[in-house]
Amino acid sequence: MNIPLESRTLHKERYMFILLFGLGLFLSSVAMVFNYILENRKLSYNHAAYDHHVMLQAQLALERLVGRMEMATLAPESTEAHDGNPSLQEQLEITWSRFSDLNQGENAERLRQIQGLESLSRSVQKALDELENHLLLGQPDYRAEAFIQQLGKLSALKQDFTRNYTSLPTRLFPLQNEQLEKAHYQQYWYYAGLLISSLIVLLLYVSAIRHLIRCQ
Amino acid sequence: MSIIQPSLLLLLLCSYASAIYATDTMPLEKTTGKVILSISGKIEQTNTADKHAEFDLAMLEKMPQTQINTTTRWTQGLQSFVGVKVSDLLKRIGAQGTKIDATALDGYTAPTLDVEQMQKYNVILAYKRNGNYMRVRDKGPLWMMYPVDDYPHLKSDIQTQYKLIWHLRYLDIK
Repeated sequence: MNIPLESRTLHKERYMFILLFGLGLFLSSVAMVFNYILENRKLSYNHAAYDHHVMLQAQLALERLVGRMEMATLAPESTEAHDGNPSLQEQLEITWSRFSDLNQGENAERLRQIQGLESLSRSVQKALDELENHLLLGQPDYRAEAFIQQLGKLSALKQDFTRNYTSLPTRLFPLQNEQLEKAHYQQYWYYAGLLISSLIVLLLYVSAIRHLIRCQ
Repeated sequence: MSIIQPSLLLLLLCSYASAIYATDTMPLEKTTGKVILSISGKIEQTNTADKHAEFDLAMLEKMPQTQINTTTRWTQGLQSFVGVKVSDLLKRIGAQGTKIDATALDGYTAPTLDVEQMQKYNVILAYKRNGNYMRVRDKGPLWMMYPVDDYPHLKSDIQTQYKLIWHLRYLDIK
């Protein structure tokens, strides 16, 4: 075929543009997919780490409260605030607020998916309310049977919470499993998109190369 | 008449400026109520023997109030927080440092805070949420609040989330 020189150059430029456009499309698809996977993984691990942190904070607050209650049975004066430590009443409220983080607010929407956690945290809050009623008495008796019973109840709840929730490795959080499942599902779509864009790019290349060969 | 008016205006401006200067430089009064915030470190104004600046709720309420409407991870829906700007508080005590270590009532310590960031984002120490004073169980009496809804990057930044300290009790200026 006898193609004029000017037309050949025009064809070549056009197909070089197609080739570059195809390469750009392919590279951006790859970058997009890998960025998505990385971001998703980061978010998932961030959530798992943060949720574990929230649960550990609750455990720590409960441990401290139980410790303060044990001290109170031996030395009632230790219930006051001292050396930067909150009073027993304040420690109770701190613990209450830490457990409310497990069942209230936007963050707890994920935590509520952990089986039994919401009900356990509400049981702790109920026990704390009962303890508060005792503390609000004019002269609370820290050696009274009622106080000792509340101490026993909170100790049992603490053990339950530690054994069944905070000791769990984060990889076992139902939350993360669910998130990963969702992410895997979305990843299939991204991979499909990548495959389609690769095929388009391949077709563009084949067609461009064929035309370039024909032009020469 | 034409001379009197500018003179009056000048007088008013001077008295306003001196009032602001006086508020910022006047010695910090002693607390009368329960101490809810203690500040130590590089500060000029103190009100305790061990060179700390202590505040009760009434003292904080006397300072200019700022409102932040935002959502948080630990609450449901839009919340209205009222409190004092950290920058105003630092000015009041003549803080000289650039970093702040903040500790909560339960011993929680946040990542070190940047004074510049406090000014940039108008961070407040909130003592009221939705019109009510916050009890300890409501994450009070002080909750450090960033206007996270106004800055989407703050909302997604995990480090900022760790800095929204509730039960805030101690600030150490460095």
